[in-house]
Amino acid sequence: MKCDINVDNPTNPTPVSEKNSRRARVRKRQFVFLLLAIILAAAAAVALLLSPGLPQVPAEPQQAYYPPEALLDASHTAADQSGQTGADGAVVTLNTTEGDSTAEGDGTAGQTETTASVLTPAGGATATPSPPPAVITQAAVPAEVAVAASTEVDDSYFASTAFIGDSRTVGLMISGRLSQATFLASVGMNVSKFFTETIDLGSGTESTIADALKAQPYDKIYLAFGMNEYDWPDKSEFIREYLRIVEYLQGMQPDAVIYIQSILPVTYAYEQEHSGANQTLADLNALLMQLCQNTGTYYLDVARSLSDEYGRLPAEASSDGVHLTSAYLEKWTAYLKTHTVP
Amino acid sequence: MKQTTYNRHHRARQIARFLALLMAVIMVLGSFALLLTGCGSADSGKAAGSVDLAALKDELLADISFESEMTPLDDALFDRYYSFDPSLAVEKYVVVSNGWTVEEIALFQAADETAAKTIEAAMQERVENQKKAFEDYVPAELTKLQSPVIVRSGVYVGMCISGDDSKAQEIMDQYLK
Repeated sequence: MKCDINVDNPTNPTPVSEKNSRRARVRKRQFVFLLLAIILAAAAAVALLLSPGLPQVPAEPQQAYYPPEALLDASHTAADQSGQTGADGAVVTLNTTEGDSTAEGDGTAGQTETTASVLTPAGGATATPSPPPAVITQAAVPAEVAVAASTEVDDSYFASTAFIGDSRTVGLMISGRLSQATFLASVGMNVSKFFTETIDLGSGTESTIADALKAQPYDKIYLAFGMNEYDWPDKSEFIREYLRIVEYLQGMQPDAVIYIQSILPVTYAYEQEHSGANQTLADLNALLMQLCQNTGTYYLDVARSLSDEYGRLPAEASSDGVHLTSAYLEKWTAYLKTHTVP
Repeated sequence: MKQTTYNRHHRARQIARFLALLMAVIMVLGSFALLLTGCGSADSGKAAGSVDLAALKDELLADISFESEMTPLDDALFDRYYSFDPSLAVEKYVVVSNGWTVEEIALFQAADETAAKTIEAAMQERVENQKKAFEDYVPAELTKLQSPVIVRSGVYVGMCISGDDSKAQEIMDQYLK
């Protein structure tokens, strides 16, 4: 006989068989255990949330932050770089003709024409691929001033070293990769300001670079100027001022090995807005090689080591076309560490 | 026998009711705890008077579009940027541009409120120095220095120089006000 237990009315109980009674007891126990399990789980969850020692996700090591623009810059298309977009299927043609360099020297100044055609037909039809940009003409480094690849040195090699330059050298300083070196650099610095403009040397000290070099002797001095001077109308003025600096250093720091670093190129996108910039920089580098020959200093061809196959700075190397990203500052540092003179 | 069966069932129901009540209390308490710890709220960096400067730095970097790649400043270079004694700050985060923009984040927890005022003054000095450095170099950058976001709250001082002052102010206020 099957019947239910009427627990609400004990005065009128329904007959219950022994078997059903056992089943009911088992069900009740199961119900109680289930409730206990739920309560324990809830309590554990609350305890975890309230715990002050919550397991933390380990912080990522400090690393340079890349703004989205920097990532976009790496994916510039020819159309992006030309700054022109074709509408209604028009063919957009970009012509960049560089002017003759007026630099004095070996006449390496060249004339380059860059032509990029972008076809953007309506309806998204196939576009004509852009021809590659013209290759920048670069002079060969004379053997007597070239610095060959050498065994990699460590940071201590730069303990008695001064790096002198403009904002690109400031970037090298900020990257922190040559922490033992002394940096005498500031934004906007150029060869004319070397003797006149004061820079912040830290701890409230301000001095011109020329005066700062009187404070202590250095074993090695690395110079990097040119980006703020490349558009000077008179290129010979740049070389004259550079020569003045080198002669000053040779007098002030007679035991120091002086390296003149090549002027780094700019990106193709930057070149579109500053016509002929890369060829002008390459021409100035040819003049710097001559300067090295005439002064017995070394020419460090960092530019070539950071350039693409056309002699330009790759798009991914810089977010503004001029100043290097962390990855390329690393390449620059690596070049310096593997190109030293004994 | 009948009375015993009834008693057993009655007790079971009482236990079930008690457990249900207990669970409800636990859930209510848990909800309060969540509210108090601010889990998932906008004020995640602010709890019981302390400010999570690392989280503030990360939020500024994530939510503001900086033109330059931003790099944490090496301690060895600190005195080139700020004129105060670094020991005035018990915690600091300084993130700077690669040198070609004036963009910068500087967040400090000072040792005391007097030190916080000294740090704030050093930030103003830094802004003035940057104006001088960039006026001939990249004059366009001066617009970012016109009204840089500088906030001092108790022992905390924060500065953000960017092209998006309103966003920077909003984030700073969230943590420091």
